[in-house]
Amino acid sequence: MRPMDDVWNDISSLPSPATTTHFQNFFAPALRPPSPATISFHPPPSPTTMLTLLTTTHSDHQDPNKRLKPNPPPPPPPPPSIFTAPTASPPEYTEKFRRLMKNRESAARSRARKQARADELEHEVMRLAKENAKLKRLQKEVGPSHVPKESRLNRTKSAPF
Amino acid sequence: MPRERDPLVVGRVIGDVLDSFTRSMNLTVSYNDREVSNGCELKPSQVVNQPRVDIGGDDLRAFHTLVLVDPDAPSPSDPNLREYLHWLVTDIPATTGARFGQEVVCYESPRPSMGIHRMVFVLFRQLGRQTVYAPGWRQNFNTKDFAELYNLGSPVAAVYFNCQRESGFGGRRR
Repeated sequence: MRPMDDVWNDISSLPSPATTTHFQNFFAPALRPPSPATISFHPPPSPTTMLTLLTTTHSDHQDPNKRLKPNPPPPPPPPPSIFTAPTASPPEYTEKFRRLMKNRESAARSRARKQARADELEHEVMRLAKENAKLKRLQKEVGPSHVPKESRLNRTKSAPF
Repeated sequence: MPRERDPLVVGRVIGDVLDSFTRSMNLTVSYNDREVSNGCELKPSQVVNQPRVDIGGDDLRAFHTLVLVDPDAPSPSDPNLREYLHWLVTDIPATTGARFGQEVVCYESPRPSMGIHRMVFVLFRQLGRQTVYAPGWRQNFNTKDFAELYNLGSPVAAVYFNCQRESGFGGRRR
């Protein structure tokens, strides 16, 4: 397990968001997506930023949540995750906090999904109501005794008399 | 303060994939005669084959580019493959549809395994008929950069749907 100092050095050497380019290099091997390096957690911390930071430093990690379940007694060697020291000074790096943030983001996405769908349906309803009103108006103007043109006899210019 | 009501903003499509833009063209996407409206839910089995895409406008000489991307690949909680390019069609004349364009990247049907993914269709107007090169790979595509590279400007239309694993439980890890 790496000492915490090494980890902190790694974090501070990550490129800052302002200088990272977002252009995809079409003719070179795929680059890893840029990761925000900010570690100042001013409330409320941006959920995407926090999670991306934590997950990219776990890049070789399969699934921290799964890992915890099959290990009911605390394993003698410390868990492979970098941030699980229970007494680490920044409490933000405990697994519990990570799960909390992930759950919060998931809940936020869920709410956004629900709200977006509701908004879209409202727009649809308004649009259809307007169209309906317009069609009803047109229907009225034409008159209730409207008969399809083809069945009506019309005098035309081509009549021989 | 008025609440934001644009589904593209509320659903974070504007933000995660696109910048704010003004809708100026009709874009109708239908899978099996079912029209896609923002945020509707479609199952992978319903989107196996490419949809019918009709675009508006009035000038057959105006050409358009359509992309379909997944910004939530492989999982919305860790979208490290954002955006995954599912389809890229160029040179679509106004008033027609995707089947009249050039398929630069063929349609790959969405098969999300983790979470609920947004699948976003974006329509751009081209300056003229142009050659567009397919990217070397589908993952980590960037719609904004692509538009800049080919001088496509801002989108003229966009619509998205949600898609999760066929058997549901998209939001739960088992």
